[in-house]
Amino acid sequence: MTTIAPSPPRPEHHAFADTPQARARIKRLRRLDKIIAGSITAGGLLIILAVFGIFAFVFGEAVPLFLGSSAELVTTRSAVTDGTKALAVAIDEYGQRPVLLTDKGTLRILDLVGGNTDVEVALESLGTATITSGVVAHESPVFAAGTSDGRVLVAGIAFEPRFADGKRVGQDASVAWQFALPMVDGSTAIERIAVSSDGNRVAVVAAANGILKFATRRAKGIGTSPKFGDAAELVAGKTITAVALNGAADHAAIGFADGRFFLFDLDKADATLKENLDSGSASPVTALSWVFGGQTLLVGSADGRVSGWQGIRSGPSSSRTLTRVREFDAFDAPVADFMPSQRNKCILAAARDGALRVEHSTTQRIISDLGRTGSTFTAIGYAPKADGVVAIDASGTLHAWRVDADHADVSLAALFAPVLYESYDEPDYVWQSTGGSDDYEPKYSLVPLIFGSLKGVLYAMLFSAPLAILAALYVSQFASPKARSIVKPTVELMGALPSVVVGFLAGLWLSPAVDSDMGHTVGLLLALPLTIVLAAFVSSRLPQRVRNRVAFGREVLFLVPFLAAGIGLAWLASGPLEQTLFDGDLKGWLVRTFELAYDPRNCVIVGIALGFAVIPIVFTVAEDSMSNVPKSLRAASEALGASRWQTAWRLVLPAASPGIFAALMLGFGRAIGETMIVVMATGNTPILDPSPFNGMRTISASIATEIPEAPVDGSLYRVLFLSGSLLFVFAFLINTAAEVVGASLRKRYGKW
Amino acid sequence: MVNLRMANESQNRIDAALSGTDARLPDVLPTKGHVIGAAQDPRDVTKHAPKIRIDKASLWYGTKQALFDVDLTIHERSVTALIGPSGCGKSTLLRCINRMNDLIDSVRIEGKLTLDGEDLYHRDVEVEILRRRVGMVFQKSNPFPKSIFENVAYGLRIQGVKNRALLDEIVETSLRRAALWDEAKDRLHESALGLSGGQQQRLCIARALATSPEVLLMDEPASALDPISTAKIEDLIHDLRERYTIVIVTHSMHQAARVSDRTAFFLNGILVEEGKTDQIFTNPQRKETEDYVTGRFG
Ligand SMILES: Nc1ncnc2c1ncn2[C@@H]1O[C@H](COP(=O)(O)OP(=O)(O)OP(=O)(O)O)[C@@H](O)[C@H]1O
Ligand SMILES: [Mg+2]
Repeated sequence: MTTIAPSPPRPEHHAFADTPQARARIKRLRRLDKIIAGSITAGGLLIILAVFGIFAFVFGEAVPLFLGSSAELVTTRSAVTDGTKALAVAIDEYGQRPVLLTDKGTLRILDLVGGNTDVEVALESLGTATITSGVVAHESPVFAAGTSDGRVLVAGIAFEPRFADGKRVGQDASVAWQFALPMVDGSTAIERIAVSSDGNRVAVVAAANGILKFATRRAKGIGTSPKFGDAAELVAGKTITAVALNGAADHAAIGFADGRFFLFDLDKADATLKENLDSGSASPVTALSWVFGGQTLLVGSADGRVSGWQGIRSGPSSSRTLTRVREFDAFDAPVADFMPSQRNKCILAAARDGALRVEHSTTQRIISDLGRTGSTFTAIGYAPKADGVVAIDASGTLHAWRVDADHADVSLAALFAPVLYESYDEPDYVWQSTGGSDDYEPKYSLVPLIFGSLKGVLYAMLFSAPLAILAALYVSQFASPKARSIVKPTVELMGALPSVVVGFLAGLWLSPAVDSDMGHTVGLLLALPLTIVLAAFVSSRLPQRVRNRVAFGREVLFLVPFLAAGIGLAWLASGPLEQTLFDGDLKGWLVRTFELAYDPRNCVIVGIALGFAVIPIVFTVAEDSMSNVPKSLRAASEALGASRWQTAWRLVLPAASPGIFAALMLGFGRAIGETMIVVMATGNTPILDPSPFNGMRTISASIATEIPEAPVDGSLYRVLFLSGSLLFVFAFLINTAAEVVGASLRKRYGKW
Repeated sequence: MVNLRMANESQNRIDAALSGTDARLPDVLPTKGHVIGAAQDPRDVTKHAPKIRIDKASLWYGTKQALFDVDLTIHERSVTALIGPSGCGKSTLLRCINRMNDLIDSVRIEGKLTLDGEDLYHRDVEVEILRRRVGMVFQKSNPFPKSIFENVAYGLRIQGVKNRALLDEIVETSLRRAALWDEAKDRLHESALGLSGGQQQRLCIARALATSPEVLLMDEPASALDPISTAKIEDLIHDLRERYTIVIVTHSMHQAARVSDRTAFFLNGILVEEGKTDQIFTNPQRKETEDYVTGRFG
């Protein structure tokens, strides 16, 4: 007998049934969840990483500015022996072939890199005389040696790179020309001497006891007969302890044992005494030299003090007089010699105790302290590219350093503090990265740029924030849905307008239009708000019956006739009014009355133009946050007897405040990063003036206009990157502030 | 001249406070005991003067008609319950009385509604003034994202009351009346959004009471509440009827029976029957009414 086993009951299909299929499905879902969550997290982290990476890159480009300068002793070797003293040294631009002027009347040409043996060339026409003093010109390798018989022997060195297969394989150095200048009668030794030469013209100052002589001569070719000048009577009875000539050879400085020094003007046929100055120290002036550019005179004294002097005007109409404006760290021993860099405002200074420093004149910073490596240095030289320094000590040993001071012009003080630049009368924040001449000192104060950025943003926000927020309030709370559906996309479309077009219109149409028709502009600016207020007042006075007849959202039409009349009237009236009240020249009147500086491209223009970029963002985000206030809340407010305006003001604005704040911050961020508009509409003048009637230069505009011209890895390039990272930091701060304030607003007004 | 601007007695006090004269708010009414299940003392409110008269009111949302020739008189110091199935137009009618329908586009109203004999839809009416006289509690609680205190004070601030003492007093009185004082008094300045749903609804009632309206429209005020909160609100209605004219929409027959003097039954936008509450529930005249109140509707 067989029984048919009843088939097991089919498991009922139930969502929570613990079947293998269900479990597999749940597992699958879980896995999918994990994968999606993982990829979203990874994406977010990648974005954060990318942002930080960008910041790291941008800031990384600026970091070398702050790493300071380095100096490295690369060579130490014997240069002269047997008690011979090196009086002066010149070096080629590759730092390879130092040329020494010795007190034996020879020029020793060394080779620090290649295997060339040292060459010794005797100065011609020395004869039986001995060398009593010797110097080298700062600007070119031209030596001048004073002799015991009252002559100056001048020799020019030629450095010539040697090429093979298109590659530089070595450096040749030779004495290119020599001549002798008879300065004084044959029995007086030249004790102090200074020479300046551009390689062609040579100027010499020679001094001895009671004698001061000037001479200029062309180095070679025709017209080589020297011109002499004499100023002996001006220095009679004084002991000359230092002499200097500037690069243009039109000024000479003569220092005395009593701590005073003279400034001579050599432009005239006869040397004229221009200024008689007190170095500020009673000890003798032991070293004098002009800093590159010939504007700052360095004065070193026997007591180790070093000061910098430049022409300062005490009043707007007075002429410049040499004034002590810089004080450097003093040496412990008398200052021995200065050697200015021919690239920047750095200066090599030596003291008798063997101290040797590279200092920066403008900021009075010690760039490198080369320390006391030997006994007194008798000759110091600065490489033409300012990347090396050589010095020969009393024992005849030559030391050569590689100096890396590419960013000597940049320091925190130069970036953020007022700096007294040459040809300025007082410390100032100056941004002027390039100038016309080689000896131009770039000025990198970021303060005017930061100020300009903030000023532009401020005026842009002043113009656009109220407009955008009130517009958002109107559109979200008062306008009819139809108007809203037209206005909102239109304003958003405004944001799609390329900013270069906005900038172009602002800079090339609006600013000249406003400039040439100030009367109408001001008339309209006054008339617009006035007519709106008037229209609002009139409408509030209308009887309820009339007001109730206007459909919801149509009230704005009421404005139209008022605006038309107001604008028309303002347009017609402002011409005659300007004529009668301000003699037809409102701009001139404004400028005279308020002593304003008026630029056609000013903050009003920038505010309007930047406003074009800012308004769409602020409007959209603020409008969204206001319309997101639930209808039920507005209904509750109106059911309590609140008018639409009261509801908007007391309920919607506070409830939407986190969103409005976010909108403002977004607008702020947009404005501070905006570039094309500010490039075209600001005038790009880096000035520190809060007046709305002149322009500014913003960080972003500086980056845009200057980075294409900035040599890669140069100071300007890196400073621009630094300003870029500042923008980054601004954006970061703004967003953080927005987040913090937004969070506290949200906490206060909650969510619904 | 239509006189909807004329304020009631409490409003007069607020106005007096605004104009600087000292005025005291009416004392809190002593709360009576619970009335749940207790038989209503049958009141004949038809002797009271008519407060609101609805005369052949029809309403369209666009082309869709939601009310059909509704005729209804609501008497002073009475509680009128509007009952009927979902979508029959109870809320719509309620919103007509304080003109909240104005906020909805495409609404068209015909017929005549009067408050104290004055046309609510006359074109000289200032709806803000009207709504101060006709307060409303909504179906879903909708506290403002503000503090409890500011929620209750909102209506007064709208009217320009700045006197702190007066605000404090009215806020307390209103919260007490809405049976929320004990729960809220220690957190008056915390966000109202931290309250529970039932507390939020009582807050909305307190908010509506603060401006001392003459008429209080309540749209299912207890629909989201637990029995205890509901009882508190019913107690409140019981207290308030001595002073206010109350119109309440409810889906709870028991609630209608407990709190109202008169009941109006709506079906598909038509007022089917209106009468004394006990009569509607015990002896309805129309078949639809009987079906609905006995739960056979459907
Ligand atoms: N804003 C509106 N626009 C269009 N139709 C609406 C609107 N509000 C309500 N209605 C319609 O009017 C009719 C009546 O709605 P109402 O809200 O008055 O019903 P109710 O009786 O309050 O219902 P419930 O008990 O569910 O709250 C419904 O058919 C509804 O769909
Ligand atoms: Mg309803």
